[in-house]
Amino acid sequence: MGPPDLSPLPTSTLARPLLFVQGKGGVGKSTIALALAKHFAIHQRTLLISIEDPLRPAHELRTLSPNLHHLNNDATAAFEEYAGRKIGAPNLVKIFLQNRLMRYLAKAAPGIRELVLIGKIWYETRNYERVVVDMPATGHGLTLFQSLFNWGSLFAGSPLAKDAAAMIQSLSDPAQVGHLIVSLPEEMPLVESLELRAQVNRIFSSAPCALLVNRRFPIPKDVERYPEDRPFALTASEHASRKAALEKDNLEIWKGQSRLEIPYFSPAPENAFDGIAERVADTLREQGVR
Amino acid sequence: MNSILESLSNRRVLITCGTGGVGKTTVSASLAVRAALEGKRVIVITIDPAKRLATSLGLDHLGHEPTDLTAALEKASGKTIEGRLTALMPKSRESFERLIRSLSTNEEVVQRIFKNSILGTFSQDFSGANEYLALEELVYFHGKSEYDLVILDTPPSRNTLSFLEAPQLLARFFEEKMIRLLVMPANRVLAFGMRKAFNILEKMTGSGFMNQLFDFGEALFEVQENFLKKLKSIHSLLQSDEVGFLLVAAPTPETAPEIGHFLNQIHSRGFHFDGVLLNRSLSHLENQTPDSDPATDLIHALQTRERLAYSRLREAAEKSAVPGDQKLFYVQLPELARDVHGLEDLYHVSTLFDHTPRR
Repeated sequence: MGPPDLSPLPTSTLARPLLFVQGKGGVGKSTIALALAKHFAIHQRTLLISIEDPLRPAHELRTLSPNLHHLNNDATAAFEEYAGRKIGAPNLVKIFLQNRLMRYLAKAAPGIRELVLIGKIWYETRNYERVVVDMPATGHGLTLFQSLFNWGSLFAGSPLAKDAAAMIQSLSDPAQVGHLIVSLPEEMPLVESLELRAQVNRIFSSAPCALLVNRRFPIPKDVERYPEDRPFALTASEHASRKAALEKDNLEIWKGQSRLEIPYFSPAPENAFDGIAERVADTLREQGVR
Repeated sequence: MNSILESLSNRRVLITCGTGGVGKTTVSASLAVRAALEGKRVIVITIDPAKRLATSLGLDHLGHEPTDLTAALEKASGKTIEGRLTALMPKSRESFERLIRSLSTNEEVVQRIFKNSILGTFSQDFSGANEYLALEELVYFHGKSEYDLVILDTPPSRNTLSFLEAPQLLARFFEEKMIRLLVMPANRVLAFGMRKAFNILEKMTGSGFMNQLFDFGEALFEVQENFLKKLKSIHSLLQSDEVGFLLVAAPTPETAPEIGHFLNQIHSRGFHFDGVLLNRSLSHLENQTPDSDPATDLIHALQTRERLAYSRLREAAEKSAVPGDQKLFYVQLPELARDVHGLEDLYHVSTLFDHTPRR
């Protein structure tokens, strides 16, 4: 028997009931989140949550397959729902929500939106076996977590502070919550992913964070060289060769880190997302995601 | 000279918009490099919690004060720079303090606002207040005579112009006199509904928060006149011909609706649209390999999508409500076969703005 492997495997992080898919803009978070949700939904009741996706109706809850639901989390709706639950009596709820100032706060006050968005995610975990959250890009994503701490102290001693404390406690539970950090094999996203992981761990100290590198460029059969001082390639094969070499160098940034890898699947001309989530899900299964 | 280069030489402010991950920060920095090479004294501002501009400029940390990169650019480009290149990544807290001080000269009011814990929370990094501060920085540096051009790299979001929403909502808060509702409890002239709503809010949030909220209201009441004036001047600046809007996008068919939406938004707000920068284009690559290879096959597939993107883009632009606009110009920026992470790389990108689209 060899020495125990102390580095947590990405696949064990992905086994957590609540999973936050994070990373910088444009790295493919939505596709990865959808792929994971589809995979989990084969055996478990699963909810995929987007955060205010402008391409879907606000607060829409739709059924993608018998076991898979998709919620477009919306701050205004989440605020109303939360206030309704907290206040209880329907006539009071009405007075409160129709108040001009309260409506304004729900829409515009920085921080409140984040608080109710994360609150809605937390609330939904009790209704599903698996919840996958397609988080906003890096900075905006962290704002969601940070709001719990900010408002928790502002509302000291109140029922809202109690809820914030309860949320912090359950979101800090390493057995219940995992974070998947998605990157491209490019220098800046790879560096920022490690920074993001450190930031997540500053907020939730023992949170398991898995790394995934998306869209790895295929390695060409023949590697062509061209002068390094020319900033761009002239032919497709030159570009491909250079790209393969660059990605190999860049991935040194993640040296020694366990990670999942998704190849760059050739996109269909009309719609890049056609059938991609299924191929990603297959690849994740091949890499041991259960 | 194309529309993008015209903007660089004629405008005093350029605002780059785009969804996350399209290379907006890199393009903004490269535009600044190009302007400096052409003799402009330029400042590029990025409000970006992920600190990307710092990385792409090869700096570990940009401070709240503008960092002068002129000497570094001379070294990287091997050229003499007539202009000046500066970069700034504002820190929320400092921008916020400057905003408050610009609104009131009464030190008592200023201190009261600074001490308010609600505002203290807003002004921290990652608190969601960045959008409020982006325009504040823009106006501040536009007003300084030491810069010919201000380039604002807008905060990343899925909605290209959403950084304008927060200040608009804030304006509504003042214009609809909602501020009075927060100040009134002191005067005890509250309608029944309002009193009820406040009671409910207090039950949920605690009395400590309510005191802070009223304190916040009173302090803001003191500065509301100046604040409204400021918002109005921001709006007329954005509508003036000193300011141009650029869209950075990926050369994919999925981009077309985004461009159509952007054009409509720009038009309805009375802003000036200066062009689309299609970043990381592969259309310059020649295809000479007859035998199949997974890597070149992928490049072919991406090129096919890019060709489709250009026809979709033209359709979207024709449909959008920009009457008689000759400026629907786009520039393709070829994808470099290297990572863009320093001034030398930004210099290479800055030489690509002359590239004219192939039809």
